[in-house]
Amino acid sequence: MALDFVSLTVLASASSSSSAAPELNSVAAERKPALRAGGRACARGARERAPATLLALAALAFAAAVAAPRGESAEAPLARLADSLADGIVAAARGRAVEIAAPEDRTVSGGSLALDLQSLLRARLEGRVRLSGSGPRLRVDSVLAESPGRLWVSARLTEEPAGRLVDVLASSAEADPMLLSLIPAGPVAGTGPLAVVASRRTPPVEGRVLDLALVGEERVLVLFDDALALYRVDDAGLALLSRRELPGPLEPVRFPGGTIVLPPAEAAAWVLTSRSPRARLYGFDGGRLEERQQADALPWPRTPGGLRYRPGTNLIDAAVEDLGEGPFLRLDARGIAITTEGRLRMASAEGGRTLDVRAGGALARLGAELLAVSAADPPGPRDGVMLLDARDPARPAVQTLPMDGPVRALAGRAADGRMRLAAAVEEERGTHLVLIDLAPLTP
Amino acid sequence: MKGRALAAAALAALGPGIVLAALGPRYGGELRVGVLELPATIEPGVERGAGAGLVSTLVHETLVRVDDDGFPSPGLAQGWTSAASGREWTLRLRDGASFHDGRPVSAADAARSIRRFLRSSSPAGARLADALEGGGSFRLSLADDLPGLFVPDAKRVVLRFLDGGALPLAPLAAPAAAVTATTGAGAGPFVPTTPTPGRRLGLTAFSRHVRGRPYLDRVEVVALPEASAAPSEMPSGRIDVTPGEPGPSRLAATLLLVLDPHRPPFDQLAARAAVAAAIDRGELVRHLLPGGDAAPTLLVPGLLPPLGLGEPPPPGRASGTVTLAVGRDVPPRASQRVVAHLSTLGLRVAVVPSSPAAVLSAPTHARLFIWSPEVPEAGLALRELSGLAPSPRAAGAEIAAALAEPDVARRRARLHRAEAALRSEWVLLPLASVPVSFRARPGVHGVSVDLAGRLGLEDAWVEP
Repeated sequence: MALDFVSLTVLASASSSSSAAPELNSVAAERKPALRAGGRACARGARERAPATLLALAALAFAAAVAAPRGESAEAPLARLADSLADGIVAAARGRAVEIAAPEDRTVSGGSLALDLQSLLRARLEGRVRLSGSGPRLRVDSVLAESPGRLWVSARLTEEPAGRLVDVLASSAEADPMLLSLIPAGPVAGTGPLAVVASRRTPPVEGRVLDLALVGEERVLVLFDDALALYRVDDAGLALLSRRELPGPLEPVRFPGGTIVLPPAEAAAWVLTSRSPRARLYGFDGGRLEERQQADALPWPRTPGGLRYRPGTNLIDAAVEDLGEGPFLRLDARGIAITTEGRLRMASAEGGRTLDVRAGGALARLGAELLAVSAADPPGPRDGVMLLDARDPARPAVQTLPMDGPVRALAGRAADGRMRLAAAVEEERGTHLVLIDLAPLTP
Repeated sequence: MKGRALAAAALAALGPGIVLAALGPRYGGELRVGVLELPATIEPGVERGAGAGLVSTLVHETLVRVDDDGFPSPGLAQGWTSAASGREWTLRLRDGASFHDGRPVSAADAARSIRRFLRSSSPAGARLADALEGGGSFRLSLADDLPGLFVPDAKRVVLRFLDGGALPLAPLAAPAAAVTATTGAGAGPFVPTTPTPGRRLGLTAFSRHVRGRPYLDRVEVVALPEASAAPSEMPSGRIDVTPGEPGPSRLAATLLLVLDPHRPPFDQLAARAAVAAAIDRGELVRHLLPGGDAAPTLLVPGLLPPLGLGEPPPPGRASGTVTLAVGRDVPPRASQRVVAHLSTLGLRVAVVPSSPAAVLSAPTHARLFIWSPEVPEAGLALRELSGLAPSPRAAGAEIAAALAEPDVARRRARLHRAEAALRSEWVLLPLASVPVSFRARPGVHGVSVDLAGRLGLEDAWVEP
């Protein structure tokens, strides 16, 4: 639970004293001189960069949303951010009155986190500085943002009414790495026979999500390009139960593919990614992932040779008895595939039949009757999940659920008339996991 | 408005199933790229033009790349460390990096390629030679020893510099610094298969490229007979990507007019100032260089934020007959307008059409060409510009000071002063920052243009 707090001006002037020993060690070592710039020139540089810094910091994560609810513990990330920001403001105020402008919220919270921050900040400043919205004062304009695993706040302190920049403060708090909080994702539109009972999303997760699997009602497996993670779903969020790094060496792949297979009646999952030639079986008895077995190919129904990824791609090479020969983009164990041309292919006695239905790269079953596939339009800021009739996917979509970015993986589950869809949605700030609970509008 | 309403109605008619969406990158397919010229060889070099730049990025890989902020980023080297107060840099090669012929990329290959680079005509190579211990003598072939370069093991290359300036590794991002095998094989994202020198080059995806196999299976680069052929080649389906608009674009070049201060009438400062005053940059951009920037410095904005041109020179007159070499890639209407401006001053102008490479050193009174830096880093770019014409002494001193300055903020300030000094005597006249644009057929994605104006197809993919 590390907490970083810096005043950029202070950072710049402090670094000037250490500029004599630049033994650099990192890939970005040649960048370091920029950060080590010393003296007043550097302080000015830091100020000049402040707007860009605000924007950069704003590309950020959240993970602390669970800490946001009002009245929570002072240990929560948002409360700790408010603590450090308040200290910085008090130090800069030097007896001046302070105006706290409404923070700009660049998290996915819809503004609620920023309002919480403002409340927490006001509470921490009361009695320490005079709060005022008029007259000579120090105005605080802050931005709350998120990056994978961290919640950030940056603030510009300007002297009003002159508008002179006094300082730029930045602070970040590490989110609880064991918990991906779930917050309402807003109404999911789409006309159709299903109602969206709940739609929630996590903050951006670290890593590239290749596949998802819902394990029972309470757990979700997430296959990253370098790890497998098991989470428990509860009201607060996705609690990490176990995570295993995939053994290397992992090959560089620009757009890797990955598949999870859940063997029936077994607390285990086979996984394969295109970054490694070996399929691995992980057991998760007791909520702990343990590697049990390896194979040259991913075991797959009606596929004697199993599945393999074509090296360096996300294309699956397989000869499935009722679907035919690949390559495929995705396969469903019950006989549906997405071809490399982005079309659905259905199992048939003749060895498969390609339908005139375009799809993106994600596919999941929602029980026996529905199929969820990502839409197939060219790149854009949004995506969608089409719900198709699993018995006749060529019919028009039953319903379409808009998504805020490209859908990279889907998982589905249906039981007792209710359905849950999990999606990995890629956005500028990273990949979010979205959980959507659906139920028929009419019983 | 009517069109928008129709589009909305059409979308509405398609029903709720239609959403804006995002089909991911797709592996497979091929692209045919038309360029105005292809280099005679695919070996790393300093040849100019879109074709040479494209071939370089397709076939070759450098130890280090330069990102959009001008900072080095990993290429074949996965990282580096420095010691001795920034005078010694150790580059560590990526595990698994290999050449097109399957051989692993070794530190010995990297060192041999750096030695070749230091003796090439590359301006960045000259800069690296100046900075390395023993580099100057080695470049001039006065010595074969190069104490500033050694290989402690198969995975590490060490560079030892005379002093600890900023961004010492940036020169290694030059195309001429690409690492090749002893067989000549490259390590870029595509493997050349069917070269017809100067006319056609076929390439296939390299499955073991350091950043992963590219999406496209195959690329074919074709030299177009002339620029006017491009518009007809694309609709016919023979070409998928070609220079032009609309398409991926980047303000990555400068339209430069260079006057020879050793030849009359441009040996007179007043004559050069008169030329600078006579050319209406705003008009040039508005009417003839769409997407350009009318108030340019020598460098495009992405390399060094412009601070303004300062006081304009006073109007004047000039007389005499001058020769003007014009690069083939300068839009004809733009060059005609420049000639018209020169004529209004009283100059008689004889135009000498030149290739993009030849125009840089054409022995004419003046040269007009589109220039992009060899390495998109401001310090190296200014140093390269200073080699295009006799430069004021102050400019050379400022550039040298900037390159040696370890503090990036102060370095930027020095670069601004150097840039202003280069322009100060009206030898190098920036007329406009111009976009480098490529037109791609619908369904082609991921095509990029870097700050050196080079077309990138490494992440390009085509819709099914």
